[in-house]
Amino acid sequence: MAANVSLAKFVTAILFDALDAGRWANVRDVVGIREISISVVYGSDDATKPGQDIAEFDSITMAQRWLAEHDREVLADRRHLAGLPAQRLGRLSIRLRLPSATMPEQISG
Amino acid sequence: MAEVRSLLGAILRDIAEARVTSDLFSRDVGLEYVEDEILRDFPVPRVDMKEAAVRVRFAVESLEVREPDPDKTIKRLATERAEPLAKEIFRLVVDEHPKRDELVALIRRKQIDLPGQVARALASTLSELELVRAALDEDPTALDKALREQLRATLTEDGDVKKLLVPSRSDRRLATALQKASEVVITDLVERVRAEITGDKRRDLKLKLAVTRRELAEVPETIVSEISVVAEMRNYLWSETEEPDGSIRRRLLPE
Repeated sequence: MAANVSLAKFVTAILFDALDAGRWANVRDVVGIREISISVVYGSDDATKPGQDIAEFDSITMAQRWLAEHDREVLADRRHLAGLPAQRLGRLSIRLRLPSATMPEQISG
Repeated sequence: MAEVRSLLGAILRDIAEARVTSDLFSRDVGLEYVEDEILRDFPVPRVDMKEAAVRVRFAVESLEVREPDPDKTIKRLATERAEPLAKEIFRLVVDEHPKRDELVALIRRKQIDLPGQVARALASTLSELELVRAALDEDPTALDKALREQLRATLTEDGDVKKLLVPSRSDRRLATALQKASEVVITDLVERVRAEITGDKRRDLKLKLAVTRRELAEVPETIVSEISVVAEMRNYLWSETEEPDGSIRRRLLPE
């Protein structure tokens, strides 16, 4: 199990997995995801004080670009986080608004 | 433990199914209304779901590095793209042919499923991993050759269709159309495979989440994360459209 992970990869994995939910459940033709909000807790295993960032985006590309610019190595799994003092815990909140055009225009019958 | 997509997917599927259950209920109620002297003039109650919001609290149970599998992506896209690309090829070869009406009438009369045959030929050729891998490495020559040969063989399998498509040895129309078709197919597949592989690399972490009440009971509140999703529900209506080969096909179009 990875201890330190890239915060950008961690958050992107959640975003992509959430976006993939409709396809995975085979309901993407009738249920289109319009907005995803995530608020993740992460930890720092050194003296660096983690942030409390909040960001909003209109596309996954913009979110990825911002995440890449603000990337850092963090702790994410609950066992590592549980052992950290409060000042080593950070929170990143992201809201991603998507066009409803993620659904198909027609289904063949 | 759960994955984000399976957890959210299961909830979204339940919401979609709830709408179906509600419609079935409305149908039953409607049948009762129509038999009642007074109720038959009343509107039948129906749930109209436009939007659903889901909020899930979680803690990360584990993180694993996931390696992308380009070959799997190629095979999946070869199958997925075969049908839409076959339609494009049909348009290039048949719809743009000067004897289009004659060709369409012949195909219909002989009940030849040309788009279907082209789709199967495409799926087969595009699943040749060596050829697609070379095209991804900027050398599409072998894939181009295989595509043009396979498409030509498929399109000219029927003797009568062949006579219209290739009226004489010197007629280069089919060869030109196939060259264009091959370019379209290769560009489409290569771009999509590249985009998916890049996407896979970006999400190469596999997360397992603790989400149930029991799992979260042992997690301190300060380290609980949250994900919220707002989903739009879409309704469809049946519509009939004419295919390039003249056949009528029923489609569901968004309301």
